[in-house]
Amino acid sequence: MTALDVAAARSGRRRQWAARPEFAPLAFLILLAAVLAVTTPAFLAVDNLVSIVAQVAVVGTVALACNTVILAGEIDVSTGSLLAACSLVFGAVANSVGGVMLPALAAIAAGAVVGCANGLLVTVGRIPSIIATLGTLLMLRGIMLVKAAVGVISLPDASRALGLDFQLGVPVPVLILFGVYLAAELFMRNTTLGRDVMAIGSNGRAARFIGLPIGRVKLLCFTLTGMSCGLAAGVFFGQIGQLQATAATGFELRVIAAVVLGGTSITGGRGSVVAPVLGAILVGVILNALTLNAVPETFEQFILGLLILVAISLDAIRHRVAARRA
Amino acid sequence: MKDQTVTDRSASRRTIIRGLAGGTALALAGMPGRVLADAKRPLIGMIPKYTSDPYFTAIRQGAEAACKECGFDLVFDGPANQDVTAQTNIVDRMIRQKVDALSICASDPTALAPAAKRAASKGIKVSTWDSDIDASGRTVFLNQSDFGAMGQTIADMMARATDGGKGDFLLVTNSFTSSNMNAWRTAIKSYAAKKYPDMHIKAELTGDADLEKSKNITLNYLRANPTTRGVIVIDGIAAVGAAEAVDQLGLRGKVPVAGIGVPSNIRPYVKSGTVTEAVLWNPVDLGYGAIYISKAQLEGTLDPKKGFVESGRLGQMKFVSDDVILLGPPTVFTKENIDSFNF
Repeated sequence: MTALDVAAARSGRRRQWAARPEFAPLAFLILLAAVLAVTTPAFLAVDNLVSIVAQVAVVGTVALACNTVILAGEIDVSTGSLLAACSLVFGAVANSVGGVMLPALAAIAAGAVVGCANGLLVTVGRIPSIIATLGTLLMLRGIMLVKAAVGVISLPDASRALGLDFQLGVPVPVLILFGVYLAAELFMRNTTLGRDVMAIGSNGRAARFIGLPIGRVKLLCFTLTGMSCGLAAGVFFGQIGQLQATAATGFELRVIAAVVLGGTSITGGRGSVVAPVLGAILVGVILNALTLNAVPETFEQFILGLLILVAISLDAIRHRVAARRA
Repeated sequence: MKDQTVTDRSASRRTIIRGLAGGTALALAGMPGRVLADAKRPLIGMIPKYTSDPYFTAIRQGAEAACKECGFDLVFDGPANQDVTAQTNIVDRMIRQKVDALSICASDPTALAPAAKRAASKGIKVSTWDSDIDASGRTVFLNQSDFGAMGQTIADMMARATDGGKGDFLLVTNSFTSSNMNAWRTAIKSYAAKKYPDMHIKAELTGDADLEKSKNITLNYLRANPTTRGVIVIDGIAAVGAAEAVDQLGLRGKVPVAGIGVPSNIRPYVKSGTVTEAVLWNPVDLGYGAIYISKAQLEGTLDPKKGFVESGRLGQMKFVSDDVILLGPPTVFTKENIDSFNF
C-alpha cells in the first residue's frame, strides 16, 4: 500500500474510491460514453460496443502483461515487433500443420523466448530496460523486413478462429482478453511473486533490504509479456488474415498508452490490474467515435498524445498532494 | 585537387568491387570477360517510397531487368516504412555514393524537393515515378497512369458493381498527403459528378497503410451506416482491409469493394467476389520504364518535342506534357485474369 492508499483508507468510503488509480480513467470513459450516446446514435448499439472491445483485444491482452513490467518499475517497448514476429511464427506453423492450437503454442513459445531474453538483458545484463527492449524491437523488425517483405503471408481460414470465431455469442478475442484479465488478477492477488511486483516497483531499495527476489520477479514479468504477444498474435493475425512486414508498427506505444491511460503510474509501484483494459477501451472508443462521425483519423495522434499528457500530469499532481498530506 | 584524389580512389575501389562481383558472376556463368574491363558503367540510384511491400519488389524486378539491358548498375534503397526524413537521408547518401541518375518515388512532394535539388546541382539526373515531387526538384515525372483515366475506371467499376452507382459510398485511402492518391480522389469525384450524379461519396477515411486500421475503420463505418452501397479503395492495403471488413460483417455480395488493388494481396478477395474488380498498372513495367527515362537523360536524348521516350520492350512512352511521361493504359484485374499477374 502506498501512502496515498493509507491516507484514503482513513477517510470515508467515497474518498477511498476516488483515490483508486483507475477512478479517473473510468469516470472519463463513462462521461465520454454518455456524450457519445447522445451525439452519435450508432455508438450505443450492442454490436458496436462488442466490436470496440474485439478491436482493442490485441492491445489489451499485451497491455495486461506489460502492465506488470511497468508496475515493477521497468518498461518493455519491444511488443510491436514481437507481436509481428510471433504472428510470423503463428503463420508458418499454421501453413504447414494447420489448426489453431499448435500455431498458438509455437507463437507463445517464441514470445516466451524473446521475453525471457529481454528479462535476462535487464536483470543479469543490467541494461536499462528501455534500451534492452528497444534493441529487441529493432532487431525483430529487421527480421520481419527480411522475412516478410517479399511476399504476402496469409492464414488458412481454419487457423483464423482466434480472431474471427464466436463462443456463446461472444467474439473469441473478447473472451481471450477477459481470460487474460482474470489470470492477471489471480497472479497479482494470490501469488507471492505477483504481490512482490508492486513492492519492487514502489521502492526497489526497500525490496532489496527485505530480500525480495527482484531479479526473478522482473524476469517473470518480461517473460509473461513475451508470452502475451504470442497469444495475441493468433488473435491479431486471425483478425486481419494477411501479414505485412510493417504490421503492428507503433503497437508498443499503443500498449504503453493503454497502461498509462488506465491509471498505472509510468514510474512503477502504483496502479491496478484492470488499468490496461480500461485504457485500451478508452482509446478504442475515441477511434470508434471518430470513424462513426466520418472524421478522418488525422486527429487521432494529437488526441492520444493530449490524453497521455493529461493522464501523466494528473498522476504527478496526485503524487504531490499525497506527499504533502503524509 | 584533394577532392579529385578522393574521387579517383573511390571510383577505382568501386571498379574493383564491381570487377570482383562481375568476375564471380562470369566465372559461374562461364562467359567471356567483357564486363571486367568496363569501368564506366553508369550507376542508377532508385528510391521507392518504402521497401516493405511486394509492389516495390515488383518495381525493383522491372528496374533490374532494364538495367541489365542498358548495361547499368542499380542501387535500390528506401526506408522500410513510409518515412520522409529517412528518404531524404537516402537521397543524400546516394549523392555521396556518386550515382549518375536518381529515380525517386516520393513520400511527400515538398519535403523531398530540397534533397533532389542538391542532387541536380551535383550533375545527377533526377526523375520521379509513381509519386511526384515539386517540379522544381526533377526534370521529368513518369506517371504510371493518367490520373483521369484511373479515376474514370474506378468510378465505372463501382457503378458496374452497384447497378449504376446510385446511393452513398465510402472511400478509403492511405493518407491525405500522398500526391497520387489525392489526384485519384479528385478524378473519381469530378468524373462521378458528371457521369453518375447519384453517386455520393459520403465519407473519406484514412487507413495509414495499416491493414488492421483500414479494416477497423471500414468495419465501424459500415456497421454505423448500413445504407452504404459500396466501398471505393484507392490504396493497396486499404483494399485488403476493406474487403476483410466486408467479409467479417457478412456483406459479401451486398457491399462491393472496388478500386486500386495489388494482385498478390487481393487475389483471394477477387476470387471470392468481395472485391468485384481492381485496377492498377503493372509495377514491373513501371520500374522498367523509369530506368529507360534515366537512360534517355544520361544520353541527352530526353526531349519533350520528340513526343516520346524509347523504352525497350514497352516501345514508346508518350509525353503528356513537357515534363510528364505516361506509362500506358491501366490494367484491370478480374476473377478471370487475376491469376496471370504475379506481383
